[in-house]
Amino acid sequence: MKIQINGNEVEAGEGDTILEVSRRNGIYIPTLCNHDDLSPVGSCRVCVVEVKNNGNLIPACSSTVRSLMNIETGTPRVLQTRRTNLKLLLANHADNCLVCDAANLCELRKVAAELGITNSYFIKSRTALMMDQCHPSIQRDLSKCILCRRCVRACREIAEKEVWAVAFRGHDSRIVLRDDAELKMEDCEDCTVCADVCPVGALINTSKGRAEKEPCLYEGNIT
Amino acid sequence: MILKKYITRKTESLDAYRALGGLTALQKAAGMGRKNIIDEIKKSQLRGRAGAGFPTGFKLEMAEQVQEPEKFVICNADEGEVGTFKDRELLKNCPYLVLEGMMIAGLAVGARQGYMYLRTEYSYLIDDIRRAIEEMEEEALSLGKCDFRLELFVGAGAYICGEETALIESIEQRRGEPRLKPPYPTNSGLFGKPTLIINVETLSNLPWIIVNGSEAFSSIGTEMSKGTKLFSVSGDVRRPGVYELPLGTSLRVLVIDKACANDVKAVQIGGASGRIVAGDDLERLLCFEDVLGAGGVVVFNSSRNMVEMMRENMAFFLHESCGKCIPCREGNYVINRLLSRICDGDGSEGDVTMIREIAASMGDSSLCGLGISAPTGLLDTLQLFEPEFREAISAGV
Ligand code: SF4
Ligand code: SF4
Repeated sequence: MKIQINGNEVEAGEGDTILEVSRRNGIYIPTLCNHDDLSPVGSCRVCVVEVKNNGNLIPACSSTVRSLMNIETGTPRVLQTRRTNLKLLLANHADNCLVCDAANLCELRKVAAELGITNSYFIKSRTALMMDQCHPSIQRDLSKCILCRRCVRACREIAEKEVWAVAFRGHDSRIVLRDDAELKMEDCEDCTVCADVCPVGALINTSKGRAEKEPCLYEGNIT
Repeated sequence: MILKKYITRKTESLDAYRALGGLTALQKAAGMGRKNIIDEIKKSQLRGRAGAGFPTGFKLEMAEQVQEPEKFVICNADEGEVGTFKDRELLKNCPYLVLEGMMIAGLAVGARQGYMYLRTEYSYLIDDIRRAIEEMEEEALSLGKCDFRLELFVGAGAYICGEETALIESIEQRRGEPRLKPPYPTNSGLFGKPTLIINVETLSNLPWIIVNGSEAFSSIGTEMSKGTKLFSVSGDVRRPGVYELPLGTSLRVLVIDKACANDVKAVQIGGASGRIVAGDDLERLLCFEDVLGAGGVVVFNSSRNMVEMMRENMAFFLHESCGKCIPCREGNYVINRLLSRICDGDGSEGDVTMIREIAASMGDSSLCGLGISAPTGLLDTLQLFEPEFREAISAGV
């Protein structure tokens, strides 16, 4: 089928997401909760795009294309919304990048830089939460969690277990183990798939040295 | 009026319901066939009564067209919107009517299993509803053509479970959170099956339409809003309660003539997520073309400070946001902090700018209707009562 992205006609297949088609055509859309190996949740609202005559913005990661869809990925409305959402997220994130194990590998910092955000001027809402170092190879720092749920999905979809869950409601939401305790070897052995997909420093695979991890490339447009 | 006789006094038994003309619609519908029922509802131009106003006939058609032996009808009785209690009156006084509506919807789409999702605050109605379900199931069976099973499911108190996909998650015993749409429930809903989710009041209109015909129904109301609507009025009025009015009636009739308000500074229409209308603008019309929502109408008199009212309003959403998406989870939090600061007299003009920025993002990019509509009243208030915000910024409330 034919669709339009930013005024250019492109070819798309049945069932493709807007994100997939955009990427194939070299159009960059920032993402945060999305991960190529996991099912989409559409929760971060950072990949939102505008569809002509469609009302609200929609997430590119989880919206499939329709014939003749007319998509805009870089209008002021889109960019402003992405920035606001990211600033809101940063307001609820621990400000200790300099001593964070994710540091330059952090996808949150990468997207923030791409969107031209240096700091959030919204009221800081993050309170210090549990730091959990009981497990030999997974370190948890809940103050850095952005609730993208990649860990929950990876555990369920890749490791085929249910170690992680979202508990509490709204702004109090937290990623927990079933009983909200520390992570121990009995809960989970050593697949570390959750830590490997965590975009920030909330779950760190401590068995890997930094050199083994791929360097983060700030390849987007820094405006 | 269509629903008034069912809410003014309690229908004690199925026989009493029959005496009111109950069950004639079900009998008629059983002989009509799916397509004719749907055509009749479509022609009536009935639209959903829970706020969004989706044409009911089309919804039925969408669920009907999916080829799948197992389908479900869910009655959304999770009436959680602030100041809204019109469904309660129907459920309390005449559950038979709601159940008959469910059965007609079931006949129309080919579903044989229905769930009623009742909000936990209405638990005191459980026994009455269960009894009505038993009687209605038996009655429907004896009609021969309608083998329809009904189950009552009681929620756990979360406002978000009124959102149809969160409601489905809740029945499936998961965390009450909205799903991504599409797929829409009419294609893949409860347990992955085609599912029709309809509000109590919408369902209650179906029997009347089947008996009296679509033309009689569409002769009431305005061009885009047919039929009547129940409104629950509360706040600073002398006669709070539930009133039925034809769609397109002016706000003045409801608030002044019916509910006897004598000092109206502002009215919120559609509960906490609804629009705010100023007291000097009561000629506005209650219909989909103008202002409507789910039917909760709250009146504020001149003793109310609107900034403070909005702080209360937004505190509700902070409490009820499910936390799945960023704009609503974080946005409600920051807006609440900003409003508290303004009410305490520590605010600044910049705070209002921030509120506008966050509200725009919530309204445009939240995952579900809760986050999208949460800032509606706040944005209206900012526009209509701007001087009050300025006053609060300089001196608090
Ligand atoms: S711990 Fe990491 S992967 Fe899991 S929700 Fe938080 S940020 Fe996402
Ligand atoms: S808008 Fe609010 S209630 Fe809806 S999914 Fe997002 S966080 Fe949950």
